[in-house]
Amino acid sequence: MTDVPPDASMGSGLTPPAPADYAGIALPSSLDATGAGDAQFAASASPSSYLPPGYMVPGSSPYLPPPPSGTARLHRTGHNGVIAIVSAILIVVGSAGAVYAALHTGGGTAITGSVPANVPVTGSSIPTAPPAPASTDTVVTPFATVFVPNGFSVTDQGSDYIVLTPDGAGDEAVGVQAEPLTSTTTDAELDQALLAGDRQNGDPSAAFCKAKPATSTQVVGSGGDIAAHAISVCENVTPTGGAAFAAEDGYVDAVAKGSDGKYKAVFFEILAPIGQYQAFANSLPAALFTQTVFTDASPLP
Amino acid sequence: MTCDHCGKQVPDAVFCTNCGAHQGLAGDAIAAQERPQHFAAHPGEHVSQPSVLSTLFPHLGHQKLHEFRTAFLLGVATIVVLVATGLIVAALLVSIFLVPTLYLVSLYEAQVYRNEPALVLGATLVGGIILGLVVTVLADHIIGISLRTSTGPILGYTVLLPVIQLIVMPLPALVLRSRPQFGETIDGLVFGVAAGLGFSIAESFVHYSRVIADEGVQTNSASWIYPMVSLAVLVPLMHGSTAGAIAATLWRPSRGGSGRWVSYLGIPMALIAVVAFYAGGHILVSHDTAPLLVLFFQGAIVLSVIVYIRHLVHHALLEEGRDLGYRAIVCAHCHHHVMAAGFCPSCGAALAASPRRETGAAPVAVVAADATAGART
Repeated sequence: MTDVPPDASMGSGLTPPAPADYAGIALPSSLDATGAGDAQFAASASPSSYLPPGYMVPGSSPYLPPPPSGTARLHRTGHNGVIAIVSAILIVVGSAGAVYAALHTGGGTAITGSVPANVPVTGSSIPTAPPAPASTDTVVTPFATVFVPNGFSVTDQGSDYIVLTPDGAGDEAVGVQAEPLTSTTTDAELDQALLAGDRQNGDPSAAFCKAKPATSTQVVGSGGDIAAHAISVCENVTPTGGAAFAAEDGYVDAVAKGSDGKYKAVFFEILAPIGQYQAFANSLPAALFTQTVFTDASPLP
Repeated sequence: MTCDHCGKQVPDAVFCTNCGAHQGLAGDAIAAQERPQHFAAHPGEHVSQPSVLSTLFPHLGHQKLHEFRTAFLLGVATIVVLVATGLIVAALLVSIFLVPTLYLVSLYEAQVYRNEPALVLGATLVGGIILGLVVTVLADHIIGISLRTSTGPILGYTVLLPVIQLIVMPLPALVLRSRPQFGETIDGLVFGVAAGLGFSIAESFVHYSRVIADEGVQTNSASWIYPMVSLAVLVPLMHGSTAGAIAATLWRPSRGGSGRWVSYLGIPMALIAVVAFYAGGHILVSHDTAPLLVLFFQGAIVLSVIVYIRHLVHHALLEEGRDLGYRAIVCAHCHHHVMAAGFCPSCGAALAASPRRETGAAPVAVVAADATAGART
């Protein structure tokens, strides 16, 4: 049965029905049955004066009696049917997501693994994996001479940083960077500063990955090998444009000293989706770390 | 009576059923003819009222609109609960599907596709999904990611990509432009919104595919609430409203009438909005603005597009509703059973913004009289 208010059925005569007072709908004086409009309506009530062509039925008004049974219903969905349909769909979708997440308890809760296999470890000059074929591609920047592994391209570069990404796309990337320090003087402080930077610039919930404590390593400066830390930050990365993914952000970072006596941070940054991080990090050739030389960077005394 | 504005003989009612003008306001032509107090798709609202649902779901009456609003709020509440309990993947999926599901149900409820559901849904929603997949995957591969704030990727993601999306998103809807049964501007709006929402589904899936694939049950999920609100509400509304605005602008058969200035603003308005949405949002984030303020900023931009669409649709409905034939209908908005042409004489709702089905029937007396009149002629 079509949902028609009772007043709609009253309008088959010349006298217009008393329309419902719907919000926002003003009534003209001619339809204001309780006011002075009565007299005005009566004076101009000749049917031929207001009935439209094709509707020349004396005594009719725009208001019709309820439509006969069998007329199409006004709404295709029943009362609160929309809520029921949408809720059912969202419950199915949400349940599927919850079940999938439960069956694929991925990186967010249990990060295991180690620092990149080919990052040189203090006290050991032998990489744990065979070195990659030598690359003839070396990029000289103001802050470092950067070894570009085979299969990598420079996709972004500035005065104090460079970004290398593997050919063929993907979300993996390696950054090499140097920047001056003001108050930070130790590798441990630099670790915290890098984590704070990730929290500030990306994911407020970023944290050092569980089961991946800082490891001692070294980077190469123009003044010699510099003691460094290898750390991993687990976070949700949302690059500009919204391509968000759960990622592991590994740093091989060190505090170095310039020829002017000022401290500077020199570091590698290895970013990859959390499921692919370890494989990506391990695929990086040792030469990336041993043949990249930071300019004007010496070990701390 | 004779309408104050179009001069036609029409039933004596609040609104002229031929041109939609508000009767009894002869002294104020704008208030009467353009009736800004009564949005043509939802007469209880002002044209400039930033109401999202009554703008993007123009075919729904008051009662159904209320149900959709309730369903939307239930969906948002569900997302909040899922985030709070650490079910990030479930929350993501609900966020991605919430608004498109509502829209799909609204298309069914109002039967906007007439008798061609496969064609319309295939061209708009599915077309939008396919284009969204292609554009998003290509963009991620071409623009790539950056480990730090640098000019290239920022310009790519905040200016270049949104402009490309703006060009691509309405294309599936425009395929239907040549179909004679979909000739009204409001059809262009609805189809454009549907295509934009399809695009939004694909884009969100690509962007969050890593999270969906890798994320387990999160214990620290507080930081997800802002991205989730953006994903569930702002991004689909931005895509849907801009695609709808452009499709509706290009859909209009003419650029004349009282709303001609509105037609010319469609594309520039959408361009400014998407660049402001993404670039402005990025600038705010890079200046350490609170995430809630960034959401408010982006929400304000979405609402500005919504208000523009309302003006565009309002003028289009008033112009395109003229000179239609009389028929008996049950108005979806005020529920009166009336004899109407282009507008409900009782509440002023444009019939083009009503469900696409015959919902009334002429009383026997009228039918008999028409038959008699026809026999005489």
